[in-house]
Amino acid sequence: MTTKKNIEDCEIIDLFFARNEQAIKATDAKYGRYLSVIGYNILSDKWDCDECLDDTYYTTWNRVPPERPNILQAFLSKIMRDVSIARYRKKNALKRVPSELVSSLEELGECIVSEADVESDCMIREIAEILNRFLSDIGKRSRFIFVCRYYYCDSVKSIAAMLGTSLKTVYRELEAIRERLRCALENGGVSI
Amino acid sequence: MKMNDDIRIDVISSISDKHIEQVNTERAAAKARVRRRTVIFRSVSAAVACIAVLIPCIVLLLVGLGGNPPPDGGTNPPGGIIDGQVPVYQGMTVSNDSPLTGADASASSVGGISLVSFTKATSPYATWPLAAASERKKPSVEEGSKDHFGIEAGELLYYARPNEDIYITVKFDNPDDFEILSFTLNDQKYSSYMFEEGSDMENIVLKVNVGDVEGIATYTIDAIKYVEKEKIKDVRIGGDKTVRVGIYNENQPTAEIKGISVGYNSLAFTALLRDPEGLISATKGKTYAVIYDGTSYIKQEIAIGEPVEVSFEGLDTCKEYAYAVVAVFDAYDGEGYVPHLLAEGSFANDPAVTVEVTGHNESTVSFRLSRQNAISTVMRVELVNEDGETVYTLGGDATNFINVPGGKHFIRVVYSYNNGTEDVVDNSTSQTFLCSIARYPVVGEISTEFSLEDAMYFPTLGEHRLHSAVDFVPNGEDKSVYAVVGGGAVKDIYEDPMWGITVEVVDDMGYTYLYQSLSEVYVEIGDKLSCGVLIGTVGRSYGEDAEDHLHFVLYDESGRVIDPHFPPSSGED
Repeated sequence: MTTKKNIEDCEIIDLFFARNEQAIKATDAKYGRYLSVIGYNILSDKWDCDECLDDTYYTTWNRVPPERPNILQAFLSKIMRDVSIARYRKKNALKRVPSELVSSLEELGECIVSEADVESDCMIREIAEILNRFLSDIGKRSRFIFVCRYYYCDSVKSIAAMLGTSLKTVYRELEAIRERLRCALENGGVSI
Repeated sequence: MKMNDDIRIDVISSISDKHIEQVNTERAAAKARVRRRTVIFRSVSAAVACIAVLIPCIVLLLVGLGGNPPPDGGTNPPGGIIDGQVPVYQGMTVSNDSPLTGADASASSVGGISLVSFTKATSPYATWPLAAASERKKPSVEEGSKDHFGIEAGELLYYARPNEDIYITVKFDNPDDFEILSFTLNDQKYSSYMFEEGSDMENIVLKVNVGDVEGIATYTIDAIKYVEKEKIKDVRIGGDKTVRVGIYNENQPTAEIKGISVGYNSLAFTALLRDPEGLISATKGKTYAVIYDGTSYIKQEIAIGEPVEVSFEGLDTCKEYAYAVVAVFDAYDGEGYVPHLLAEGSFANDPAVTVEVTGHNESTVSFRLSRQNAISTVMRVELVNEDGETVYTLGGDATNFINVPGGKHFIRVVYSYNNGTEDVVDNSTSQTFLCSIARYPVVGEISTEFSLEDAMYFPTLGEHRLHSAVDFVPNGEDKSVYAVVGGGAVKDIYEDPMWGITVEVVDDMGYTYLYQSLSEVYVEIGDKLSCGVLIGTVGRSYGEDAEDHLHFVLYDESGRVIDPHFPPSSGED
């Protein structure tokens, strides 16, 4: 027997498939706040975040159907992140935007450095393959911390709150994860 | 070409949906928990805040009704909460053992400065040879060298061997215990997870391998970061950023001593000192040729790399000396700036005048004097008995003593010479000799004399034979047999088929004394005998049909039987 929550996700997806505009309202009611946090982590601007949220719903409406998301929340998170990143890139061309994304990218600079003397797409694929393999190999907790910090751009404080641990512990674990990733990339033949 | 940030964004964006979905579920649940905790916390905080507001109001109300309000505790100073104190870097120390395991590095104090010592292989340097066979106090090169050169602490405080692990302790003044996040050491970044377990935020320990290096290894710290709340900040620098460690070099200096020439009061040799790694000059060391007699320590500075002729004059005669090539430098072995013995030897120099016994009979001894130093003066020549008493004294031109008493004697020549600085009186002695034996071995009489010329008739044997011995018969009831001279030891006790029970004694001149035809024996093999010691009792020989008597035989150092030359009448008891 499925839970009410799951039924709700199924019902929302059914509304998308029925091309019923209630699907957007239901999505916003259930995941609007969740998605806003993702956007704010990247953009640090409420207006930009709201615009990205609208873009996320619009993209979802266009993709469902034919796609039927396995986990609606993850599906929406990915779209929200991609939209926010695109907005960030556009804004960043004009001026630096201080946000959690910036600090997380700085941290990643220790292990993912590209001197762009090779074709970027090819290298991105290569690194991505190693990264996904890496995420499969590290423990559940380390994977959680890595994805929250560098995918969702959660602050170290909020990660510590979610894990019920201290800032020092999270910093220490992030350092260790980045070092392991660096070694994995080196062993994978990616020059850094 | 894309910028680095863009590439990183794209890489992260390519995380597979599988991982995203999994984390997303966990993240949503975690955020829900945080929200619930936040709600509860806010509710509790609100309640606490209400109470916190009410209590002062109640207190004020009570105060207003009578009495002075209690003084304000003032948990916060005016202007708000004080920010944390920035950690201050204090400096670094080095140890060979981890300071976190409780086994602190053993430190040796040299010159008041603590050094880190380490378990080292046996030093390539030999210890000072002690003056051999000398009655004088044997010299200790360590004590002598410390007296002469002193002990200085090296300019380094820390030492290690190549490829050894060392522990660097980075010290902070960090009263608020902020998390020290990272720093660079020789441009290599060290993060908190790389610190040795057990480190705290005021003493961070790193384990570092010095590598295959020589000379001095330096370690420089920089870019020290700490975390305050969510911000990464710089630690303030309050100590020396660089620490130096001396690395021991296996290729230590060596030396050779050749062409040794020993005179009666001089020593000369050629010294060659090699220092391929330049370790001595690197630590501003010095090199010397030295000579030491246990009291006086004489040194001459010598160069490195080429053979150096060394000469010591004006030495005392008849003395044991030790000589060496010594380098005073810091070998980076943890001992500091100390003397190292590179090559050594020892010798005993000859006396200025020597005396040699050239011949003796039962009452006369002749001798010869030899001068090593032509300008020495013989003051007198003495005949000395085995008790150390001077029996006769003659002038410097004498060549023999007559009427030499029985027993062992030696000759002593007393002379003077100038050692280049002052006139010195010294002496030398001859080997011990035996002209005749002073005492009888029994309280009695000689019954048969020694004869290698006239054969005597032995009734038991039924034939004439030469009597290469002296027979004694005791007077009265006392049949005791005594040692006739001192300085001997019992070599053997056996039963001779002809002469019966025999005690064989050999003395320090190599003479052999046979006490034969004994009845009882009171000594054992190995016993040392002085003159007059009781050996046994008179018995009977097997080959002679005679009354009980002692058959005494004497052999010289070459094994030739000789006449003992006993005095004609009985000796003392």
